[in-house]
Amino acid sequence: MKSRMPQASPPGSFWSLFDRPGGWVFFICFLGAVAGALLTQHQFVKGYKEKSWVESLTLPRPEYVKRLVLGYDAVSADLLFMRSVQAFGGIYENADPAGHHYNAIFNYFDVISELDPHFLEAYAFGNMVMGDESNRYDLALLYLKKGQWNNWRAYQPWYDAAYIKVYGAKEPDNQAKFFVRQAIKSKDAPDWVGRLEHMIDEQSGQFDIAMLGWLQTYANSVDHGDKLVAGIAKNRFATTINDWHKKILQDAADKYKKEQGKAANSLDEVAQAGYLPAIPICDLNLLQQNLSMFQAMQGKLSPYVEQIYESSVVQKGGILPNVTRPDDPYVLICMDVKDDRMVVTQSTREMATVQNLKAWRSAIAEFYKANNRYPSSLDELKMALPPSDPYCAGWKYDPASGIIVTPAREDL
Amino acid sequence: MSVAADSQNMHDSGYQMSQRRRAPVFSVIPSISLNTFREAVRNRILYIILIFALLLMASSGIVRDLTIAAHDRVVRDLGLAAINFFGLAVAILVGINLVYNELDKKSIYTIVSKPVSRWQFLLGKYFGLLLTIYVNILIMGVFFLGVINYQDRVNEDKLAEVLWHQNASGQYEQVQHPTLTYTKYVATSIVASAGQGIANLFGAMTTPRTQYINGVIFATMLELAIITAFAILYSSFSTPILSAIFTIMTFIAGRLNQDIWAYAMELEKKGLRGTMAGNIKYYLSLGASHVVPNLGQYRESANQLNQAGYHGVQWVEMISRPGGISLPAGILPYTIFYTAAILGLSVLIFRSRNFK
Amino acid sequence: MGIIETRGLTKTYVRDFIDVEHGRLRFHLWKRKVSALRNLNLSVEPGEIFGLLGPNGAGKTTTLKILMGIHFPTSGEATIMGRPLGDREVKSRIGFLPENPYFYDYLTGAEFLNFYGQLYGMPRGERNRKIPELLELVGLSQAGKLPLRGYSKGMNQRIGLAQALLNDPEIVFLDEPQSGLDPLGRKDIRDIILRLREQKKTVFFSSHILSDAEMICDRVAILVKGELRNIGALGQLLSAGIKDYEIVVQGVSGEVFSALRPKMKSYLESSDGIMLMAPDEELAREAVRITLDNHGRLVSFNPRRETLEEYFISQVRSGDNIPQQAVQGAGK
Repeated sequence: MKSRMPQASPPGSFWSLFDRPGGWVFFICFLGAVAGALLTQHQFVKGYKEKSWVESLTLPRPEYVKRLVLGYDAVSADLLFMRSVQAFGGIYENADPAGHHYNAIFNYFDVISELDPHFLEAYAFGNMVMGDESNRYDLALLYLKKGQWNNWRAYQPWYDAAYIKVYGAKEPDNQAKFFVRQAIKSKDAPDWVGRLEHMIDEQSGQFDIAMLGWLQTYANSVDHGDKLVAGIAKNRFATTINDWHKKILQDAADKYKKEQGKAANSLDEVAQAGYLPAIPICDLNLLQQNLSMFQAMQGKLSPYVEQIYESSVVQKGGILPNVTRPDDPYVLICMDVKDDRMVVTQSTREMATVQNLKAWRSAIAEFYKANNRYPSSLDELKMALPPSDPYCAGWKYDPASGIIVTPAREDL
Repeated sequence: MSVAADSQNMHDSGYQMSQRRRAPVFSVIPSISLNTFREAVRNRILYIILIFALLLMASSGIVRDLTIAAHDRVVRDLGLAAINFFGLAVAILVGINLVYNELDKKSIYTIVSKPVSRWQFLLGKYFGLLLTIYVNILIMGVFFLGVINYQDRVNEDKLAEVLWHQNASGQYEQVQHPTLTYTKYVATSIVASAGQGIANLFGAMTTPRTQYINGVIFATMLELAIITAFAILYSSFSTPILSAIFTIMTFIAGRLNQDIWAYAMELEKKGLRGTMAGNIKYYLSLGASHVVPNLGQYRESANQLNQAGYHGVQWVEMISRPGGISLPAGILPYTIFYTAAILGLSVLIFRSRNFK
Repeated sequence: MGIIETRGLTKTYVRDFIDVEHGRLRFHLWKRKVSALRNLNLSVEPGEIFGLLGPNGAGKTTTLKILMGIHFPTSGEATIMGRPLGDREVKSRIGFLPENPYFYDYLTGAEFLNFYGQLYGMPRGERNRKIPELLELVGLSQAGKLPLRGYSKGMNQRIGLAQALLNDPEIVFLDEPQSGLDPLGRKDIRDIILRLREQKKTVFFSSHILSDAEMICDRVAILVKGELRNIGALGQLLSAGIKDYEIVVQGVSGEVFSALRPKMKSYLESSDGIMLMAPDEELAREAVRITLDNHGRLVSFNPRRETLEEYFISQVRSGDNIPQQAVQGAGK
């Protein structure tokens, strides 16, 4: 039982401090010292500024950090990576459009990759932070270059770099293709890596190579029974053709404008003025037939690919305009994917038939003027590029009257 | 008690030794080692370190949630770094007191007066400490591997498999006694994980997540053999605090050995060897890089094994150098030679000391 | 040649610049050489109990440490059983108990003796047999299972003695074996040492406790400040003759001795009676006669020989000036 009577406190206990006046003095001074320390500290604490996120994530240069961690490289890389995930993951308010602080971010990821050059997730995440979120594609590409250099047989740094170039920086050039090709060479590259290559071809204007690529993809996917990829390949094939035709039409219209001095009112004008070739639509049907043969046979693909290529509209130089908005000649929707087949809509056929008939009829008229008789058959006309029948019924030609119609639409 | 045989002749022709018990040679070092092990085991600091390490590994589950995409890697790296670091902690904290306490408390008096050479005593201490550290590492290793295996067995997918059944009509329903099933499953998983962990140490029953961890642990054990030798060396002539500082400095210098050599090469490349100061610096650093233990090579091999563990051997061949995964050929002989040299040095220092 | 022989054994320490001397911090300009032992020549015969005596700092412990191989002599040489110091065979036949020993306190008594037995190379059966015997001998049979951490000073000393006798040694070296023991303990030690002599073992010990040394030693050596002052059998060193007579009487008053008193060596009156110390026999008998004539009672009549303590103090004091502290320590 502790007693507070001055003389009754047991010696050595806390309360014995107050037995003598000196003890009181000491205790009061002690309390005063504690209070003073707390108050002055409070002044300091009030003046603390929160560190900006850049300051809290700034690291020394990679080579210094590597020495600093004394050989615990892998775990330090992991911890720094975790920290970066916490700091950067999804924090868009930290996005820095002006890009001032990205040197610090780049250094941070550089440190991680110096500590463990084979840490692929770090390259991917750093690419995401610097490339996707902040549009600093130059830094992202530089960082990925280090990943490529250290892991040149892994697909990921190459693929990420190609992706950034194509979709981020929008430069689908040869360098991007080089990245994709390196990515494809890797043993663990997934299938979809190759598709980026076709995309690059598409976007860089090399439509023929892209088309071939998509055809091969389609063929391979049908081989493996991969319906998803087959559908994708078909879609992309259609889109490629679409884009290609768009380009051709655009170039023709621009050329018309440049040479005629005025913009064309419709594609017809452009076609009639001779800037666009004729339309062998039937070949598309052949293409469709071959594609369905693919699905049936599912075995022999390579010769069919060749066949398709040969019979494709590409080689014949034809295009398929599908103008659903006639007042806007520069917009093309080439073909529809309907019921899993590439079809040509009616209006297209009609227009194409009209055009082709026009071409035939003018050729027949010329022949008549020259030879005073109608040609015995269409072959006698010896056209360089004889237009085919979009309705695939074949032309019906009457040599006596010189009238050519297609049996499907005799009204045209 | 028996009587000396020649006691009658003692006065005349000098004392003659009778052929009695010969002083033992080979059983001394093991007894001292086992005694040192017992001493360390009854020392509380060992348990503190062990508990810390085990807590760290057990917390790897929380750590997983802090990362994206790199979970396996983080758990694995953290565990292996913990094993390395805490092994080092045991080597230093237990080793610095080892010889010093004997000398300071003078328990060595009765040892030296026995038919025990000083070098036998020192080697016994060394092997005892090494045994303590290795047992510690093995416990941590088995626990770590057990944790990983446990995470493989007890995760959401597996639990769903165990707790939910498809009944006759194809619907999913819970089993009859979910709590009991869960408890039983967890208990058997713990035991199975521990057993698998022990097997993993020998390279058996490995999953992709636990591959090659035994190689990394082996590299750690080799590295610690050298550090322990240094701890004994310093403990044989200085106080515990100084021994700790020296051992830590040796550890740091050993890990940075390649950089010391790189410094010398930089001097050479930049043509700074012209002056006398430059020359001294060059030869000093070159010499130091030969004398200081090369601890970096253990980390290199460990890192390589780690990479192989994450991605498989073929991947490492893909991205770095071909030829498969193994520790470099010279690592074991180097460790043995170097350790023998350091222990030899400590024996030389120890044998002519006057014990206060 | 004796079982233990030293010739010209010298041990010099080099002291540091800063030193503690006479309880105060002293600074020196140069490193001082302190000799702990100077030219010690000793010989111990087999089968005897030999005591090494001297004041503090005389070099007794140093001698023992050199013999055990804990310290190395600066010069001179020594042999045990005819072999030089450090010989392993020799070490397997001797036992040593240091002063204020510290043993591994995490071991129990039995484990500790077991460990030391392993160091001697004793096979397990022998160990299992001897350890209980030894524990019984030193009176620690109950404490064999307790960790040494919990031993009192006396128990520590006993277990130390047990380990010194573990290998049934031919020579037993003891450094201050009776320090820290109560009178019962000291008696036990004395008995054990005497029994060792019965078993024809040699005992070499150093001690402060002169009365016990007087009781059991065959030969003693007196060491002062590193030098051997004297060595020899007790009987030879102490003068055989009777020095004086101590007489205690009661029942008489002091006046009866008034004539005799100046001739006495000392005279003391107390409540228990009167004590006189007579320098020779005649005066002693005179004192007795006076007592009996005055109807007093003779309580005791005690002829006294020179004690070892007196001899010791005379040896130590002769020659150099010795500070009071050392003498007081020595006379304990």
